[in-house]
Amino acid sequence: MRRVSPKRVGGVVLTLFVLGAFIALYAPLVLVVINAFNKNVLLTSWAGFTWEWVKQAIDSGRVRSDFLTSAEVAIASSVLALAIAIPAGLWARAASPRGRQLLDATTYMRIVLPEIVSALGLLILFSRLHIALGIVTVIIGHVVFNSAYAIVIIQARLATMTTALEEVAADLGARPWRVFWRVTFPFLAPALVVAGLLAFAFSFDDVITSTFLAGSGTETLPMLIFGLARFRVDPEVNAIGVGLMVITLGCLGFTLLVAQGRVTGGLVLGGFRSGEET
Amino acid sequence: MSERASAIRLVDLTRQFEKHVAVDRVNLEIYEGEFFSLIGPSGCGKTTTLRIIAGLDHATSGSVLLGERDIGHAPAYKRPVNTVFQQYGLFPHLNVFDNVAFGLKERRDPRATIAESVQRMLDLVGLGGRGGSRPRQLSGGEQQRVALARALVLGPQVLLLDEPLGALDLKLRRQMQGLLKSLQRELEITFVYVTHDQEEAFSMSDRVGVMNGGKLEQVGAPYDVYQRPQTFFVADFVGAANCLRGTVKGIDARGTYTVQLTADDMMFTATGVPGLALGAPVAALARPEAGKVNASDAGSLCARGSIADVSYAGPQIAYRVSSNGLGDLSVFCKADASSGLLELGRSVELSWDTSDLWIFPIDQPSTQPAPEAEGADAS
Repeated sequence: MRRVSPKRVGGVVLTLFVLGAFIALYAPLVLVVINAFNKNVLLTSWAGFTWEWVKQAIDSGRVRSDFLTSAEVAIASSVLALAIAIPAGLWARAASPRGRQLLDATTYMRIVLPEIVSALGLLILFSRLHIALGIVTVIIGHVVFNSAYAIVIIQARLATMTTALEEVAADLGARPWRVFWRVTFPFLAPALVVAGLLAFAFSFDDVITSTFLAGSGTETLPMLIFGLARFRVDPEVNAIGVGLMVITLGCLGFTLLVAQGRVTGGLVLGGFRSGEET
Repeated sequence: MSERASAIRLVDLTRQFEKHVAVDRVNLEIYEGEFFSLIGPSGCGKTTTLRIIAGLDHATSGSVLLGERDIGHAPAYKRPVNTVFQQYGLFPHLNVFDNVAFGLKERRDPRATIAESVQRMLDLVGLGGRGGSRPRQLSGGEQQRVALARALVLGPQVLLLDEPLGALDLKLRRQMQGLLKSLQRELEITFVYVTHDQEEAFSMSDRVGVMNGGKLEQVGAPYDVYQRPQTFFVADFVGAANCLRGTVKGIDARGTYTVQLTADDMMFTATGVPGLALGAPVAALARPEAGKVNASDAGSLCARGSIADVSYAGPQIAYRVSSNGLGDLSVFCKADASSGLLELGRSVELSWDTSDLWIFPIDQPSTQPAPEAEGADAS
């Protein structure tokens, strides 16, 4: 961090304030991490480092099965989100300004509206339609918000792409779907990676929608944590929480790398570098 | 003319955007193996015309014939024409080889033939060793050569070029012009070249078409278009021009006009656009490079005045002369060591041989405008 000139007291105050705010924001996370490795079961004070709780969490059948459920939900809902977002983004390019506005409005609505409302709405809908709650309904619930994020990301990418390259491809004899496959898709690839990873991360740590739509037989990892923490916060919960954090941060970190174009060259074979001029 | 095989024929081609008519009833025939250029200022409809031929845009009415076949409704990917775009349009995710192979793969040529065709074409444009490079590793000129190879490798019946050299600097442009011309001769493919640079068009083309406001104003060999413009726009667009307004006062048996200038009532005779009527408002085109300074003789159009501006451009000197009666005139002189520069304010006599003048019709508010259909239907 750059040193603030002592004359600029205002600057110092501002720095301290921001620093304080960030400490307050991140302290809980730090506590979770510390307590995941704390020998003291009651978590009242630091009693030394241990892998005990992490091992306990990994050995627990419930934790493992919930982890798998979460992973399935996250993967399925991200893939479905992309499957909706790609055609939506392509459609928006050719759509009238009005059509685009409509898509934007409905997309942002899914992001802005309280998640609990859409979860509730889906719960009512599923019970009306006599659809049994379970992993499928959770996946559908996650697609509601995941697809919105994916559309925003894909649209942002498409906004930087003129139709010029696609015209070139058509001029060289490529049929419309070949144009998509050989030009549009490679151009979109980095955005698809980013959107997919973000969707995965959002899905993986979701509690509200999952709780509403899982029914009695299905449980995701965040639901487990939430359930356990209602009785008492033991070190194992912290350990599971750390695991969740690692997965989510891993996704976000990778997303950032892709967004900066560091990994795309190798990862997305033959893909366009993100941010590359067309 | 009719004995030559037609490569492309545009019939009453019109393209209307909302209220703006980008291409207005264009009729044009381009012959096989010809280097044809469409020139005009930006927004004149030349690029739209090219895009309609390529199938990237569609005409509101009228038709596009390729040979004898109407291709107006065929999608771009089915047309045996290819385009070289101004911004190159190379696929950044493919290397040079794969860029050139793009269309061949779409055509499902066998792998071995593809490699061979691509290599041959890359050699032809002088990029034989660059197949593995990425487009961004190439200079602008090299990128444009890749784009050229990518289009030519498909052996199109017609190659469309949309200001392909617009993004290059002057020296590179000259080189590329040479390459384009020699490739065109070698491959005997019809080139339709769009540019706003009339000099570029003139130096490369067999014929040029001048467009203005969506209309094709004149089609002809560069020499004809330059020396014998049919309209004021053409006269003015294809080079520097002094246009002296006047009226037709007499027509002789060989079609030579006697014209009286509006400004100073001077009378002279000169040839011009055939079919002008007595009393028609006209202009006499006097090209600056045909003008002479202080060298008048009999049978010439003369004007006295003083030098108002001198600009020295190496091989030639351009003078602007404020004349008595004819307004500002410009004249270009050869800049040889013996003649030196004339100083500002010096009084001079300008003259043009009447055989160097050309009479063409102009619109005047008081008279009826020339029928538009005739204007688009050039020689």
